[in-house]
Amino acid sequence: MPPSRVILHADMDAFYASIEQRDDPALRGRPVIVGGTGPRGVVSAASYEAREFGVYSAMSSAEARQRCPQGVFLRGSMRRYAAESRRIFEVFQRFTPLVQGLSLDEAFLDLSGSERLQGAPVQVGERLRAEVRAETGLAVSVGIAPVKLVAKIASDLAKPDGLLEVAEGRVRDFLAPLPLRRLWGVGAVGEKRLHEAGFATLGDLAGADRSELETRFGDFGAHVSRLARGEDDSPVEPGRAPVSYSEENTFERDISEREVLESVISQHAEAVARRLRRSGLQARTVFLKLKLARRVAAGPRGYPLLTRRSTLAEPSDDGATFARVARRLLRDAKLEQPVRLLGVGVSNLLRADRGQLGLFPVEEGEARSGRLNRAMDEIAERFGADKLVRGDAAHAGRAGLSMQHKRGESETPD
Amino acid sequence: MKISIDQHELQRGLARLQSVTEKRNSMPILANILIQVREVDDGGELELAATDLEVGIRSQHSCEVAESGAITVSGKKFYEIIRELPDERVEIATTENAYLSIRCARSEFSLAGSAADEYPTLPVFSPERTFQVQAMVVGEMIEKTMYAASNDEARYNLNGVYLEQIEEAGKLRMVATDGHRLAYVDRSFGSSLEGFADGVIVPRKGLSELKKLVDEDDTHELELGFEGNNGLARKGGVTLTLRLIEGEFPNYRNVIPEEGSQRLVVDRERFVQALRRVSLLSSERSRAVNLEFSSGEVSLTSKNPDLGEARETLDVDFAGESLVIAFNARYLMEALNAPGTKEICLSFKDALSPIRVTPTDDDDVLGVVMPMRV
Repeated sequence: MPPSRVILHADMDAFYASIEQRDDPALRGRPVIVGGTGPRGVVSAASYEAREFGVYSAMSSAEARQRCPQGVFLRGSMRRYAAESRRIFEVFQRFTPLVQGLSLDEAFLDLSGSERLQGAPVQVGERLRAEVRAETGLAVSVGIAPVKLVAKIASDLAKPDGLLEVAEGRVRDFLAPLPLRRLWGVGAVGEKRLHEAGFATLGDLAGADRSELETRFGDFGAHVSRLARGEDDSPVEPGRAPVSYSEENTFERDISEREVLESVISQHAEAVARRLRRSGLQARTVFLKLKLARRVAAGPRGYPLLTRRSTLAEPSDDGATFARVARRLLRDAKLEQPVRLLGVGVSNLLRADRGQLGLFPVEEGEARSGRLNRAMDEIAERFGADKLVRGDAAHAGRAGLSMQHKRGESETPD
Repeated sequence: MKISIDQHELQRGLARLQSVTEKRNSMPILANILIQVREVDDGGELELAATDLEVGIRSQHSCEVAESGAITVSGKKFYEIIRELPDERVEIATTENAYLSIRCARSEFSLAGSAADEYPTLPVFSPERTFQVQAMVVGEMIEKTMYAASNDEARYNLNGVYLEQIEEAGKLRMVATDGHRLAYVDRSFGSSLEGFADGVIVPRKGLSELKKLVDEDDTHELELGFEGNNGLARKGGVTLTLRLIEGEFPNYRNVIPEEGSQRLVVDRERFVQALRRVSLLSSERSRAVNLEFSSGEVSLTSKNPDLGEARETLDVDFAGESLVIAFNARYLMEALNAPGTKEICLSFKDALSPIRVTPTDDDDVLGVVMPMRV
């Protein structure tokens, strides 16, 4: 058995709204609403105080004003949020060089073996929380566990402004009552399949025979069986920033309908764009990955794989832009057979808060898609990414999206 | 169709069409050129034409005609054949089944073609008003602006150069921008611009064809005309038709900065060379180079986490406050080089405002470059 690890997951509380409240003392304790301030604007973030008035993201600003006339309406600034993120990560770095950033406001830290030097994990976690607060005035919630998956769930349950440690021997009990969606890689489709098979909680999965799950659900079965028991040996990978982000899935049946493929492209493109925005990045290259249905050799690698890429003139973090390019790549590929797997990814990443400034004021169209993206991010964060889809992704349901959904974050360009 | 014509005359005409014949196979017929022969009062006339549906070129050449007619053949193959022939008379004629027979000295070719009516019709339009301008001046204006036009298909209204008459009668302005930088040139053509009222956006492809036409022999006058979504340029026996960009050119006047409080004059060549050297170690993607201004000098620096760092200091007549501005090195180099003068004046306000790049001796040429945030 490998030596036990101590993984800390740190996640900032209501990051954007808290920054606004911190920077303007007059906003503290008051309902702060970040979003479009024009007549057709939508709310993209609401502080805890604002939520008490029933103000939520994606609500029209007009309605938010009705519900909360005393609310403070702000536009927000990604650049400031990214700068704040850098300060927070500098604090994380003091505790260990093994920091893996997941987005602007979230990271894993590997504290294994530092107990003698730094003290018990809970003390380290509290010290980290205190230092982040002292340096930035912001609240961060912390989860501590022997594996990444559990640490992440723990920080979520610790919110707001809390800390939760799940000790080595408590992992399975901790996970048992939780719903299936808590697991990485279990989306709506996977959850439905598992529900239909009679599994309701992680405890149910952990109690089931692994080889049976594997027979029934393939690799996915083995994957969820391991995770439900808290078996997750994925390391904290500080490394360099990722150079590409991608989303792909294998279909349950091979797909040749163009509109379904295009819908799936939109869905993946939106997901990739959302992750970019969360990380404060933009991308210049879009790639489309296709595995064709007709096997040319034996084995799982026997399907022909096509990768097509295109470089944008301007870096972007807009899903609609990525989807448009990927759909063009699909058309240009002139497919003559059904598709088994489809993936959309981006590479050539740049930091959104840096780079070439524009000569002209941001055009209304771009400003609007920026606001829409922020609103969609908020909804995805609160209710799950599948709760809101763009109209052009509406056919994706017809694809019978398989359970084999894969997210890539690669450090080498593919 | 049957004619005889000088090899070099035919080669010159065909060479001109090469950049317009379509290399992609989206519409195979566009890889062809159209050959038409008619008898005119003083003998015979060969017309060579090609279009990619955006730009069309037509040229007239005198020849001896035995029989008029028309055919369309591969522009590339026809050119390659003619190019290899000796400088003698070439006889070309259509034969059975749309073949083109080519004879010169003791060489003989039979090139497969198609009926002329399979080639798309080139727009023939004659604007009500055209105006005469000096070809050389037009060429200069294109050279000093086109670099700033956008390549981004999504910003189609910036994919060309905007031509407009400015307040002063007889002055034509060409202006281009890609949203990060901008360039304009004003040149006076006397009163010959009468009738050129509204501005037009000429696409890059059309402009580079126009530039080539001008460069062939820039001592001539050029006839320009615009109407609706089409433009026309005529010089010698060559007519260029251009599809204009439909769209609105942005209100660029608003983004041109005033002369800034910080100002210096640099030797263009020295400055560009330093930029080129320092940019070798700038990040490949951003091409960012920092300009650190301080009293009497400017240091150019670059940094790349994978490669290292570079620095070069130049003595300049700068007397303003110390300041660091970052630029995409390519944008700055192109703006410095475009005016073609020895000395360039740089003027700016602060690190996040656009910089003005102007020649010291010509108020009618201007470059503007937006900095980078690093």
